[in-house]
Amino acid sequence: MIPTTSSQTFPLTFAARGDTVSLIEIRDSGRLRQRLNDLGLNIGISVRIVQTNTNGALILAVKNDSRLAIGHGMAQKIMVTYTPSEA
Amino acid sequence: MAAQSMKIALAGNPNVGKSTLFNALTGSRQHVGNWPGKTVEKKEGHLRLDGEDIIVVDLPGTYSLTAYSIEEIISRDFIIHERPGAVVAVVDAANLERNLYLVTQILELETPVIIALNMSDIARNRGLTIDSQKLSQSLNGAPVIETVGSSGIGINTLKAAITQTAVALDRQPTRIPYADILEKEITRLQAAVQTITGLTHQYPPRWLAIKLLEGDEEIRQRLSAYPYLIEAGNEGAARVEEFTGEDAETLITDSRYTFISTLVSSALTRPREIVETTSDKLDHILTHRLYGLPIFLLLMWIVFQITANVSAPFLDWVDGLINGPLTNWTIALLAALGLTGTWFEALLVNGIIAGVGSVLVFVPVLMSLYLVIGVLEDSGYMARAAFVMDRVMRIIGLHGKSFLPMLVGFGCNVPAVYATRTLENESDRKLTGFLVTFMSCGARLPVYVLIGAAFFGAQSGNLIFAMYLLGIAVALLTGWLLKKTVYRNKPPQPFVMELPPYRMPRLQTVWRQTWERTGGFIRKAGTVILASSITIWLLMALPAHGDYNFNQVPPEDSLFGVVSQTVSPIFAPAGFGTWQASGSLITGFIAKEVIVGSMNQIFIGEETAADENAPPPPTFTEDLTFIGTSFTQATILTVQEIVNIVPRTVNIIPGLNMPEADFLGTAAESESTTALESALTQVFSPLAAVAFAVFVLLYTPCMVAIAAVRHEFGGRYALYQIIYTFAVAWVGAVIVYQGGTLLGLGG
Repeated sequence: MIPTTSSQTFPLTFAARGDTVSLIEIRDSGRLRQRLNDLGLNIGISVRIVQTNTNGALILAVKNDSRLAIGHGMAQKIMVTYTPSEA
Repeated sequence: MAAQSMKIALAGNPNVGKSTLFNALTGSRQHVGNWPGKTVEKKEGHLRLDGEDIIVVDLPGTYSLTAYSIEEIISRDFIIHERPGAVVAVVDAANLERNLYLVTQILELETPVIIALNMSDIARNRGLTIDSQKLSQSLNGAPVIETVGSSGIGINTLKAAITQTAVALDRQPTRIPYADILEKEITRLQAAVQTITGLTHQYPPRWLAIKLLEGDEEIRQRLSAYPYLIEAGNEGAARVEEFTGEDAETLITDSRYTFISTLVSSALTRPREIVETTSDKLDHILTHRLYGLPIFLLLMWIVFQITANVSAPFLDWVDGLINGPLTNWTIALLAALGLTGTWFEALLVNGIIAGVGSVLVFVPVLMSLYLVIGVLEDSGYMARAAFVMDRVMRIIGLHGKSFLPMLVGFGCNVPAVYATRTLENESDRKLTGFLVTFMSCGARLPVYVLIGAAFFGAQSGNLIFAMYLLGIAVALLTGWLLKKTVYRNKPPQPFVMELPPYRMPRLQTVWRQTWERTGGFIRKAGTVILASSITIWLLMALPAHGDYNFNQVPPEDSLFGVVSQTVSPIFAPAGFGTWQASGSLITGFIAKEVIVGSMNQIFIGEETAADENAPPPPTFTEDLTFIGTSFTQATILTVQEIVNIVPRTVNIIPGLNMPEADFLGTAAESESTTALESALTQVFSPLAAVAFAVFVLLYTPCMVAIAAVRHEFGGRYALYQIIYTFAVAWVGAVIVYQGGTLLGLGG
């Protein structure tokens, strides 16, 4: 679950449709991060990118059954890495 | 037993069918939607169980009980202070893991909890099996009941559980275990809290300790009388962060999710790892980066085709009913009572039936609009529209979620203003609230339908579609302007929103919603429009000058005519500087629904005399036959119009010319025009009529919408809105008329 130090972390905006990535860090404190947590985006989980929009907004599959639309600004603050087991 | 009625609360995430379950429990009707954040107001209903009255309170849909939104604070305050006998946590069985997060927070408030695994049919269809007994065991025996709110499955079991839970006071609350380092701090803080009896009476001590460690802003404010507790919370959080390198809030969330994931892995079995659901596959197409937006526009085009053309045959039918049989019968009845030619006949026939009747004619139009909006909402597409529109909304510094109140605005601006509450950011809310009134609401639609039918015949759908697009364009332009001026230097707001899975719209939900919204319109016809019809009739019957008697005055010399005449020069540059046009617009300040009604009174009032040598009125039996045959005809024509959406849509593409269906062989005949339509063509030129429609679209929203804006954002703000919308409408109408004249369209 915890990625190896060698694997690269990058903002969620760089992930492509169909990728599965795991959440490493949310570069924000307080309100925004809490919002994401409430919606099931907490550190360590895997998310799949269902759709990307031209302006960088994304649709994510979270915790198997939940789908979230997320804006570009927010996606930039979410650092992820490719999940080694599901590459 | 108890003297006072017991209260139970329904809590849950948005979109879990809480409202449907509320209806199933209480039998009362309320609005049921399918996009996030619909349930904002507190709703109460009554439930009778074993002869006892229980008050059921529907808490706002929230994802959590932190203090980051009004809804969350409302919900947790209710649970803490009102101490409900039980909280029914409504959980989407098909989205268990995420939904249980809220449940853990409710459990920590140490209130008796019943878990309703709602929409369990959808979960089962997806192959998910939930062992509710196991789930219940892991939650210290809290009842877990599978329900399907929409079909009433599990409701009786739920009711039984409510009775049992309310009397069983001895159950241990479920404790969410936290990481050791956190538990140490929680214990410490809890001990400090427990020394203050004033607090332990009000709050569960462990919960308060967790909140202090989390740094919950709202709790800190409430505990400002105990600064050392807040300090102790800060110190604890600092120690945790020093020790782990993570902040306490994150770790607390992690612990909750770890607890949930243990719970779920033991109680939930999925068939196999489903990577892509059908809903995802649909999203590949419907929210596609390239064709997402065209698909959205196409859907909107179809929506307005349906509202404009498909409902038209029934519009004609209702119109025939009111102007034919209903008017004839009223006149005959009055004649039998010896009231022919009196002012009372004039009031009833020219005032009330003409005024209210001409508005009721549009019931089929609104029903079809609300029906399609309901289908889009219930299917889950509306939330996708927000995602697709995100990139358009960015232009004006808002994000896609702000588009949802705007879509609601197509139905009615008033709920749209309140729907801005789903936006977290205050200035986003204000800006969105300012823009929603440019969304063409259902009440403005009759004006376009009328003008479209009078001047553009079969092309009236295009006029209507153009009006809706213009409303959006003006809203975007206004937003862009405000972003460049008032809201300069504002960082873009974060956008995150849940997308419910696509599903077949349920007829029952859509129908109920349509009926409720249409009912609101009909009620308005019975009150506001009735009152204004009588007022307008009265003002038109009162002479302003000259030697006229009451009810004998030509319209232009009546009080109403004179006032409208004074105002009318303002509209001369827009091409409709007649007293009739300004008169109708004045009445539109009350409610936009009134415009068509008052137009009818104003324009038709002059015409009644022209019908002297009309054929004798039909007999009662003839009338009944007419109602029946015309209804059948309207039904056939409606089907024809639905079929014709296809050729009309295909024909947008230049070069294609697909023939349209013509079931009754009547398409070639010119459509029968109503008296009002032909009267309009005498007062307006087609271009002036379009300018008039533009003005109606953009000008000052109705009183109720202004009241809503004032309620939400304050009086000064409402005043800006009144001034701005009026100015924009005037400029818009003048541009259309003068521009059109320059282009030679003025003829």
